[in-house]
Order: sequence, then structure tokens, then C-alpha cells
Amino acid sequence: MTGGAAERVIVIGVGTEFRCDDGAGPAVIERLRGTVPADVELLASDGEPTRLMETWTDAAVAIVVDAVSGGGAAPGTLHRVVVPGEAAGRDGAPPPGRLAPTTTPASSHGLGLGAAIELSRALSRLPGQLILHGVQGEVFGYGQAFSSAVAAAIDDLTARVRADVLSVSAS
Amino acid sequence: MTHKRERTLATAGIARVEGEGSLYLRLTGEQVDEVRLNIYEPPRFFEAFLRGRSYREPPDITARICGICPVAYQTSAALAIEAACGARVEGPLADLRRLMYCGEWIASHSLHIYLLHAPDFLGYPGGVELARDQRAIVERGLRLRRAGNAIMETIGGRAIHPVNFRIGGFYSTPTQADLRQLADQLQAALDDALETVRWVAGFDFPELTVDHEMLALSQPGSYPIERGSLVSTDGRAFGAAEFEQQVIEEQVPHSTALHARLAGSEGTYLTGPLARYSLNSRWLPPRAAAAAAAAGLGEDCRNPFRSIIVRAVEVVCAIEEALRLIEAYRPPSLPNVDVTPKAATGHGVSEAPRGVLYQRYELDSAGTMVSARIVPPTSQNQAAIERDLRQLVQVRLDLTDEQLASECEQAIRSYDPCISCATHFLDLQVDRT
Repeated sequence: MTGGAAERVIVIGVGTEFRCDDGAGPAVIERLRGTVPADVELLASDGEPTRLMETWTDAAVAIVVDAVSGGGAAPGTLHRVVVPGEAAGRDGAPPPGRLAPTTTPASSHGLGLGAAIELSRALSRLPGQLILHGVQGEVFGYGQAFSSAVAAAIDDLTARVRADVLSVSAS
Repeated sequence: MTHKRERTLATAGIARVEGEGSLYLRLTGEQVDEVRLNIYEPPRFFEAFLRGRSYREPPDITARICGICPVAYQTSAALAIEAACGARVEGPLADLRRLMYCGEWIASHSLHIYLLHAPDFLGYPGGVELARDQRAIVERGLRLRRAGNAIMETIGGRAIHPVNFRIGGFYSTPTQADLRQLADQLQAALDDALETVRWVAGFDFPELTVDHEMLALSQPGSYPIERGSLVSTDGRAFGAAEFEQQVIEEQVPHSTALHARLAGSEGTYLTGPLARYSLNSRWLPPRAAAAAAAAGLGEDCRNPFRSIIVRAVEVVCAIEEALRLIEAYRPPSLPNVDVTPKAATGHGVSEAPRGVLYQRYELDSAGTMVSARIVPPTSQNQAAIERDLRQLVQVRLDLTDEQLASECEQAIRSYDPCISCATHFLDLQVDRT
């Protein structure tokens, strides 16, 4: 990063507060308020891909926090992935670290973070740097309580996200 | 003895909520025995969550049921509570609600047309691949979506979970200048929308004619969006207050969703773009009507695959309506009307992008909610979608399981079912004996 006021840093918490562990992303956003530099944008999002893309298009750094399922990790496990930039994934070759298939879901409600990343890559709208933080969720039914595993991990997740924010803001 | 097998054939997208998004087919020889679609969880949680809360809260809370159609949830909720309290929201406040709702239709339909539905007709696995190959086309869809979002942001404060909407109207209303700023963007969007109709009208459509009774709102004199009474293709006509007498919901063993049918009929019914168009095509504004005619749509449309044309025509309609409402707008003297709580029950219906969305609220005299009922379009359409899939599969039994999965996914996509509040995948199981 070159620094300067024009360099947007944005943290996006993806999920809904009414689906238990799916609310981890927005919960981290609330925990970050007042603890990161004032010019860092903090945003909760439902993860709809075109909205995510428009949000991070001209950001120098975008950090996305989301609950994840599948893959076999234990509930509460924290993940961190730096998404490869614009040059990766051309000519149909999957870029290293690719997170999601791009097959079409049955509904526009099913387009998610993976689609947002790949759509942004196809349209040259990835942010300068895109970092994903995930927490392995366990309970995704209706409700507002985290599973015990996610509840135990949320402070650690917030600290890791904050460390990334402070690191990129200082550079 | 035939060997019975069952396996998972297809997954699309990532599942965050496992076990919801599944389609199960049981086939015996040349016969489709069972079609079970389990894609949708009704908003029972929200009905319970709303009980005991203030009558002012449903617009904010129900907007969170769906990130794609928050305005629909807000509008039906407000209509129901205002009806219970005997309040009427009219004139510029009602026009602003219609305008904001137009924004939601434009944004929701554009997303579905460009990133979900069109790739099926063009041989792409999804919108990302379409964007890689035909960037200018996808950029056109994104411009349209932005124009819709701009309307919602200007009136609602933001496009996702709009915060400016309230019982009785709005917290604050835009100036004429605020709305006029949208007009240039919408004029350009109108050209994009007309081009979209021409584009999708050229696709090849699989043959499928559905014979469901169709249910939609009617607002004589205009295309139904933010309010109206209910009408059907079999001649039913009833108001929101009669909804629960006319729409019967029944538990079925395989799904947490109730199956809906219309009173006095054992058949399925359909709500959504096909129903709306078939019952109201004569009320389309001029540019949308001309675009529909040029695209080859008749007075009605009963092929779910052609719903992409209907959605494209409805985008033209919503932009024309938005431009008309902006031109005519004069700010109201107050941003909202008084809504004094009463011990009463109110009902509200509006046309969400996916179809009729009904809500009922029972209040006590202090305005605390005693009960709430929310019936979204997808829960009404579930039985009709299953019946259409049965019809589709019955004539495609010679396909491999993989091909069958693909065709079923395409058919389901054409209804754009609302999958509650989370990302899901469609997990198809075929059982052949």
C-alpha cells in the first residue's frame, strides 16, 4: 500500500443475525466499532454478490468476515485466506486458493461470497487486497444464539480481524 | 427384485444451511412416483419473534427476512398494521412507496435475469462465466441493478434493509431535487431494460405449459405492485382480509413448509411474474406493453422458462412507472400520517418480485402484537413447482441422473424461489427402482 486518504480500507461482515452462527460476521463488525481507525469502513452485508462487488470495487483493502460450513473442520475453527488478485484465474485455470465453485445455485438467494469473488475477478473489480476471515459454524437454523463453539471463538476472530485492519492501516 | 439406489447427484453453490435446499425424485420404471422439493423454510421464527413487540417494529424486523426483497416485506407489514389501525396512507406517500418498490423490482429482476437465468439459455454454467465471455452484457445488467438500488437508497436510506420506511409513511421524505437526480440514470436504464427484453426474447425456450390457477394482485388502471386486491385466472376476487379463507395451507410430511391451495380447489396455484402478467398485461404502461408485444408475449404466459421475458418486461414497467412518479412528485406536507393503535386485526398484501406476499397482525389496544402471520410467495408456489417438476421429469426419464439434475435445476431457477435468508445449494437425490 502507498497510504493516503484515498486508500479505502473496508471490513465487511457477511451474514444474518437471525440464523445463529451465520451472524458471526456482523457480530465481529459490531465488536470492531471504536477499536479501529475512524476512516476504516465497517459494514454488515447479506453477502449478495453484486452488492459485495460494488462495495469493495475501489477499496485498497477489503477484509470479509463470514461464517463457513463444510470442509470438515471442527466448529469454532478460524480460517484466514488471502484471495489471489486480478491476474489469477485467467483462461479458465482455477487460481490457487480458490474458495468456491461457480456453479449456479437454484435461486438468486443462493449466490454467495464465492460468486462475488469470481464475478469481481471476471469484471476486474477485485479490491487491491482481499482477505477472508472465516469461523467454522455449527448451527445455522433460525435463532439469535451462537453455538458454544462459535461463541467461544468470536473474540479471537475479532482480534485477528482487528490485527489485520491495524496492519494494513499502518502500512 | 429391482435394486434400489439413492445418491446425491448435484450440488450448486455453497451451503451454509445444510439440509434445506434438496430435491428428491423417486422413479419406478417409467413412472415418477414422488417429487419432494425442500427448498424453503417458512418465516415461523419471525412470526414468533414479532409477538409481544410494538406495532411499529414489523417493517424493520420483517425487512430482515430477505435481503433481496426487503421493501416487499416492509410494505405488506405496513399495509396490514395501517389497516388494523384504520389509517390510510395516500397521495405522495403512497406514490413514494410504489416508487421504492419499483426500485426493488428493478434490482431483484435484473439480478435474476443476468446472473441466474440467462446463463441457462446461453450454455454457461453461471453468471460468472457469462461475465468472462460477454462482459458488456453483464455490465448492462449491473447498471440496471444499480438504478434500482439507487431508488431504494434515495427513498429508503439504503438498499439493504431500508431504514427510512415506517408505519404511516416515512421518517423523512425526499425533495423533488433528490428524486430528479435519479431521472437521468433511469432514462439510461430504460434503454438498457428495452435492450434486455430484445435480448432474452431471442433465447430458445423449452416447451412446458403449466395449467395452474394463477393468483395475483389487481390494481385496475395500473400494473399491480405495492397494493391491490386479489384475483385469479379462475375468476376469484377477494381482498387481503379474506386471504386466509381463500388460501388454505396444509402440512405435508416431507417439508417444513406448508403446501398452499385455493379454497374449493384440489389443484395447485401459482403466484409470481407469470401470474401477474397473465392477469394484468393490459395494464402495462406503453413502453412495457410494446416491448412485450415485440417479444412475442401474448395476453398471458404459461411457460415458466419464458418468465425471463416477463421479468424483463416488468423491469421496463417499473422504470416507466418510476419516471412517471418522479415527474409527478410533490413532497407531502408531513412525512407520515398518524397511526394510533387499536385492538384490531389487519391484513396486507403486495406483489413481491416473486409474487403475492401476505401478512396479518393482531394488535391489542396498546399496540402490542398479539399474533403475526406471514405468507411469502415461495411457500405458496412450492406445490406448483413440485407438480411442474413431475411433469418435466415424466417426459425426460431417458436422461441420465446428471442431465435430469441439470434440467430440474433450470426449471427451479425459472421460479427464482426465495431461499430463506441464507445461501443454500440444491441437493438432488434420485431414487430409481
